[in-house]
Amino acid sequence: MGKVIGIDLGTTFSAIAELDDLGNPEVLADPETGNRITRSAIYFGRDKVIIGEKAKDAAVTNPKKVVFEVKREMENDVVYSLKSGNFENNDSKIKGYTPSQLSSLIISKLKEFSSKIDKAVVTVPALFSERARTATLDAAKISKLDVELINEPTAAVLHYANLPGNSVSGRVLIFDLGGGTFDITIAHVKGKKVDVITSVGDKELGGQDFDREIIKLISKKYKKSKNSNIDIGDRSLLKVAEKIKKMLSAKDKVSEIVEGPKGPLKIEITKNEFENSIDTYIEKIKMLTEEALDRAECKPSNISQTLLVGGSTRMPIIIDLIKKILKKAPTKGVNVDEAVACGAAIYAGLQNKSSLNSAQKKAISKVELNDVCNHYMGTLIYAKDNERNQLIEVNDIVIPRDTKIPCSITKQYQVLADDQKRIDCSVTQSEGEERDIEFVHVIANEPLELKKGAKQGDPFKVTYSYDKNGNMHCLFEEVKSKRKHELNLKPSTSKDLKELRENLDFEIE
Amino acid sequence: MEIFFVWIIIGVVIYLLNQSNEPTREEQIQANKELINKLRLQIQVKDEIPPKDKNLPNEKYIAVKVKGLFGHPEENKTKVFLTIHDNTDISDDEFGAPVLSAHPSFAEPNSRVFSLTTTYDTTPDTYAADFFNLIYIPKEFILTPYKGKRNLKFNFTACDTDAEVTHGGHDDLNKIKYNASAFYQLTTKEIGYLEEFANKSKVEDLTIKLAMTMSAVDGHLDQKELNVIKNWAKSLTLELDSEKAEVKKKHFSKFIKQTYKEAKERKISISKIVREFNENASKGQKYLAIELMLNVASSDDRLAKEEEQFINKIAKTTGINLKTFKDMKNKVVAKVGKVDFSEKPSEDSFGITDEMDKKEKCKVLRKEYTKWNSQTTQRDPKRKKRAKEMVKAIASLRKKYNC
Repeated sequence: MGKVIGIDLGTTFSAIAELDDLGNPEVLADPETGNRITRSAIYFGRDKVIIGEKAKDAAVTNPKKVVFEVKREMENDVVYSLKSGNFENNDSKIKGYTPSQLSSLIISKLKEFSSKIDKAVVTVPALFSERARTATLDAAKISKLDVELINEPTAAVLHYANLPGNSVSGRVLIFDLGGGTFDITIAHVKGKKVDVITSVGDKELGGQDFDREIIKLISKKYKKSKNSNIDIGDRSLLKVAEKIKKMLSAKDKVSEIVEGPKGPLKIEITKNEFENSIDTYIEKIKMLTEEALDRAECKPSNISQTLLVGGSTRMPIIIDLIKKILKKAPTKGVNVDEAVACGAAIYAGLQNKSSLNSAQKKAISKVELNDVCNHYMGTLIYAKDNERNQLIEVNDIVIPRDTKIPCSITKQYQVLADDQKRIDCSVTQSEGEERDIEFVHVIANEPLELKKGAKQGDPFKVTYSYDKNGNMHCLFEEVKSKRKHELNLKPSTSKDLKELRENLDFEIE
Repeated sequence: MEIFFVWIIIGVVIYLLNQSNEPTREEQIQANKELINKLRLQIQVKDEIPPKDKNLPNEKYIAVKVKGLFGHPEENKTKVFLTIHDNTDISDDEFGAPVLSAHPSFAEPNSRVFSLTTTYDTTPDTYAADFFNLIYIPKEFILTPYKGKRNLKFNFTACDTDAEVTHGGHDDLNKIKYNASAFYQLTTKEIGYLEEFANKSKVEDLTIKLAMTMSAVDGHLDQKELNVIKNWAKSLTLELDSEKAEVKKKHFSKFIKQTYKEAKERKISISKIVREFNENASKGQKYLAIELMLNVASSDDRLAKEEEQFINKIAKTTGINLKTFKDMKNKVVAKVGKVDFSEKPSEDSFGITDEMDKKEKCKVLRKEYTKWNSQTTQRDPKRKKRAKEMVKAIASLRKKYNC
């Protein structure tokens, strides 16, 4: 019998967990280093790649050969060029590695911590787009893993709900601030049953952004003292910044020696300076917390507990912010770096019960998870703008965000003109309730040929549905002729393995 | 003898009683009138807030109600029509120019003329004893031929099932079985559609002048900006037949050259053209002009401070909906490489007004954050950069308002 595992594929750190023989999630350590979390950094050597802390260290001497923050590029059509040391638009002329290929290297490294893996669950930020989810699945496919996806905060709350002697119940807020992404989920927990109410988030807000603000402070101070510009792209500065950030969690000021073009300089950064430098991010966190409360139609007093996830929640300013907004201190008790991977392992067990032993089955027998749709899903239509007295193209929402899944919603539209030949079956995704087409992502667009002689006003139906596994199906139907076109939006690997694995024959260390 | 008299008296009483039970001729006429009135098709038009079960916004609509006999005398179906005509300055018996509908669901097929039609299953004695709600029409859906106080004639007809209405008129009056009319006064500040038609050429020229003036406001008028104006003018000739299109093209060519020269030499009186434009342009034309100005302003990949200020000012004077304007501007702002906001950070750009209290401002900013933050992961570097700037501006405004 193979194992089922959960992988937290993070922006800065990743982790892997599996269910132990009794059905409890257990984080697997790197057998070489003993580390339970692995730095999501990739170093490209001559014929091998190194993943982890060693790769990060290599960035000081070989910055172009080390790739960081792959997760932030998952929804983009880019490649990492070892020549330029940057992500560049995916052009056939540029030789490089896609985000899926790079992520697959991290997954392959994590896979080595376990054995005989049967099925896996990989976590993604709640607001990850369909494209980014597909890229994540591609990464798993390259690593020869059969995977499903789960949203990170949802995985975390599953872990909290399954803790032995669980005291988590009621309406809980999961505050997930990692290295690169920030998610807030509000869920209702009763026993081991988790009903997600809403998720909001920011795909580019995390510890790495705070580090960059510290680098800006360092640069400013260096310039002031030495009248010379420091290279803010210097990877060694990232290490210094991360160190300063961690120390400022315990101290009011920190001094570090920084190398620059005009020699070394001892730079002092105070807690106050640091906190002022990240105030835009803090404001963003405040807005998202308010939005989550609004979407869940609850006040801070209705939140029974705030559960912390992600390394950046260790920062005192974050704890203070949570206390200020939610009027109570967050719950402590789990390792914030491991909660997501543990939850993913539980979900993997839940989805693959046939791979479990009887004790494991028993341990998760009462676990139940009900999720919601994390985006507004719509379609592009032409509608009369009464205000402008014009026919304009707009986005019309079919499934509102936070709709409980499974669900199915049908909307009826009309053919625009006599003898119209076809309609564009477009599927859009947006975080906000957007009507403006400039602010939505078109994730699919295929034509449906109409029956000859279509008349203006002839009805056609659009039905969007989510199955219980979170896969979306879109059906466009011309009512009179019953002609249909179905778009299956289940995140799936679009390319074959050979194509995905191109240029990727490395030994992984 | 006494018995004889008693019988006579009884006979007289019976006669008199019989006489009193039989209606008089007047009474008969009155009764008939009441019956006809009860059966007569009637229409009522008034302002009313729709009942809650209609699920319409809680605001005043034009409520059209009907009562009386409307069942087709020979058929088991009746087709009914509602048309609206502008009867201002003509007698009640006539039918003026039809009103147009701003929404296709209230329009004749393939036309913008207002018309509502439906077919009922009826019997010859089908009638509504009391007024029933035929339709609630949003006032803004009615487009009159002229602006000002209009006397609108609402005409309801019950007809044969093959009856048709085109441009507000029945194809065959013999197909009308019952008919009822009512009048409603509507005051509109907007240019009417016939005025719009009459002013079309003038407004097009004024739009070009506005766009040209706007593009020169930052001190230079470049070829890219000029090309956007030329292309816009060209698009206006596409729907014309070749002869008319040629005439129009010649006119635009000459007019654009002349306006270009005037704009460069700063010889155009902004206040004069704005006043003229506002007097002659319909709401739709105003939006088209704003759209053109935004496209011209952004054609050089930069929205200059002076251009933004100019467009903001024009938008405010035209009386267009400022939220719609903000949405239109956002589209441009999202795409251009550089924006020099007139006020930094721009409250205007996020739709914040002085009338809003702190709580409202904070909520608006949060909504705007969701909108712009979702764009920060855009693949287009320009859009990404712009979105990040907007998010930063939102965060700093939130700090300013101590949200």
